[in-house]
Amino acid sequence: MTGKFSIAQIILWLFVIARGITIGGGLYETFVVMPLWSLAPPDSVIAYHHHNAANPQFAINAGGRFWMFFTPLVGLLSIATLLSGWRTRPKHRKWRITGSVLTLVVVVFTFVWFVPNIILLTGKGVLAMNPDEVKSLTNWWVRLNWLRAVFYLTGWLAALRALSIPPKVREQHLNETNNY
Amino acid sequence: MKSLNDEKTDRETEIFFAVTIVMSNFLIFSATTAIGWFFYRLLTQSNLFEVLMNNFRFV
Repeated sequence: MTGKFSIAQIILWLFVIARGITIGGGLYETFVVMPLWSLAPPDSVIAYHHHNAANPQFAINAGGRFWMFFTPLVGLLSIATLLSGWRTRPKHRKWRITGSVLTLVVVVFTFVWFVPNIILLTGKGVLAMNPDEVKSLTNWWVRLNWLRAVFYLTGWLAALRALSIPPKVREQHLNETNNY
Repeated sequence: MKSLNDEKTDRETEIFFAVTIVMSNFLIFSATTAIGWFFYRLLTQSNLFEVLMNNFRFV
């Protein structure tokens, strides 16, 4: 399938849409939710934990309600995008690989570092940490989150660029089919 | 050799496609980001998540 709606193109579209949705959620979290606990560590982090423990009905719990579905979905779609684009033409493939590899790096780093540490900072674990540790970890989380956003956005722009370049040239396809 | 008119037409087409690509990318960016922004807000700050989980049991 090398037409307009090839599997490679459909997967790339799904990848771009899923990534756009996660960027939207990420922007909301970064600009609206994150300052609630990260602006004045360690006090703000501990106050945020106490507030959530005392009012569980108002706890945002974005990990269990939003990211739990979208992060693995984006990870799987980036693998699918990488694999399905293996036989596309180089001009298209380089952007496709850039987008999916950058996303995959972000997803792996999210599971390895961001998730365990945000669970630590917003859960009971924060009460067992000393204030300097809380402050340092919060600042690192915020700084690295901006780096993650840059990686993520760059990968998404690369995927958009791939979307605007056809995976195969039609004439080339016709020549290939004529050879059979 | 191309005439000046042909060159003008080529340039017009080139610019038209470049602008179209930029605009469509901007549209995709705005639409999907807005969906993500509101979807995150809905799932985390309303009872939509509970409603979904109670009505669509996977097990």
